[in-house]
Amino acid sequence: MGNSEFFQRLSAVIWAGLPFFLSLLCVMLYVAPLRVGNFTIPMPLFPFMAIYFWSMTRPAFMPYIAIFLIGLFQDVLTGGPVGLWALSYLLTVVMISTQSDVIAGRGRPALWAGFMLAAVLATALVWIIARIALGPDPAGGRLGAEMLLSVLVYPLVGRFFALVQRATNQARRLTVTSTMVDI
Amino acid sequence: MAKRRSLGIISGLGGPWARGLLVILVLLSIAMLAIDRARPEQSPFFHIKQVVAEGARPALIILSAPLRTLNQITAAFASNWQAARRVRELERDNRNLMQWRDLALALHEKMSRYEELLGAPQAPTPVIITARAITDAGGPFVRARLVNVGTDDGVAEGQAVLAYNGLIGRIMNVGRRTARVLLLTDLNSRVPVFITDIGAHAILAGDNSGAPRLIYIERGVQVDTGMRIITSGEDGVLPRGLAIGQIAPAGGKKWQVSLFARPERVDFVNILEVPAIQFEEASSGPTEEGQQAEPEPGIADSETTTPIAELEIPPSGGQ
Repeated sequence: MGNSEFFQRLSAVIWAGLPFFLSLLCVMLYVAPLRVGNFTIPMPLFPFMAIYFWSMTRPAFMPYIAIFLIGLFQDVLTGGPVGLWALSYLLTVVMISTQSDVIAGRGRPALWAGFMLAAVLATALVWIIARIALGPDPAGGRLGAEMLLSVLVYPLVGRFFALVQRATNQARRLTVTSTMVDI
Repeated sequence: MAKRRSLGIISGLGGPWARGLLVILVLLSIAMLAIDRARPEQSPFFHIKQVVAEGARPALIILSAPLRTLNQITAAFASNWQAARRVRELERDNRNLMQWRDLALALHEKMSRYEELLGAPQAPTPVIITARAITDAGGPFVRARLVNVGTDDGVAEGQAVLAYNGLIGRIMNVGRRTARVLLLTDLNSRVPVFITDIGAHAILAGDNSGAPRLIYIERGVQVDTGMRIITSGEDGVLPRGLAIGQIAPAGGKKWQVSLFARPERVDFVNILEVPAIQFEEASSGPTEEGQQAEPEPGIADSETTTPIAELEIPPSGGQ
């Protein structure tokens, strides 16, 4: 294997892994403390936004194992029941993927509308699983607030993910072109 | 439906294996959830959580820095917004506290004399470890916060965690440089408490809401709104007498506690390290006051530790 081929593969792995590592960063942002004045502000579900975005636009960059690991990282970092978010994210993506033909490739409004549906689904699922696992009243209010905030900020965060996606595509194209020149 | 294609470079993640993998991952999640919930503190994930938190510590500190600045700006704005009213309130509180301080000093002096006369073992001087919370309260299902100190700073499991105005929780899990604080409001939190006004015992049980419930109240006692709750120390983990909150009605015959400190809003916390009481029989000679208060080597050098005895009593203003 030549040097150029090695670097091409390495570059491809890095670019392919970018959505996953960005999602892990989103988990850390999700657990960061945010307050305005004397009020604690619930954080939007940034990791779920990343999972949804790539599951709809480039599912190959967000395989099930990545979704599982992101959910697991969120469970472990928040100190909550392990498997809760992982299970919820997996099931939501499976369900929302059935509608990906309707959502993906039809512009940002469709993607946002799809995210609303996905966020409601994910929240409902995590609430049901938590109710079974933790018992009565697993803080539905806070969960609802997080879901609403996520829906509100998704257009902005989604735009950022789209920029990352575009940069990734360009970088990959450049890598392929340079390899072809070498050949 | 968008097909989950294999990336080629990471084979086995997509393509024909995707559905089988999905089923395995779903089953794995359910199994992990069952194991973790069956015995939370004996679960294999208990220590993994701390190891992961330890690894993520630098990133969490970097990420929380800009948010902390934003928090400070908004807090300063909110504070200035009501500055005049707050100044009046603080002046009134200050006048009240001056009276309480004089009373406390007089009682402390009296208590010291009685202890001397009775030959009671000297209570160890607690050491305060100051820490900063680096994560939020942990999402909708858990009320726990990571703090930026660990065993290197003298933190150990079970130690009490306080805000300036009351108890907020205890150390649940500790790594070398991080520790997880289980807040009083968490579903798994159970703290034996003492109702000072009527001298009754009860258990403070978190339920993930802002006000934990009061359960197993001693029979035959009449509980009422506004009664003060402190730690009873009966669990042998938390020391007795730490202020917690006041009783508030929770509907029906149930009671909850309105906490003095709001665990979710606290940025800086004090972790209380209470050395074990040294009985005279156990020691070779009479114990000197300074010896017991002395923290372990290394801990005293840390910037974060302060023996309570050394804390300065503010000069009485307005006299």
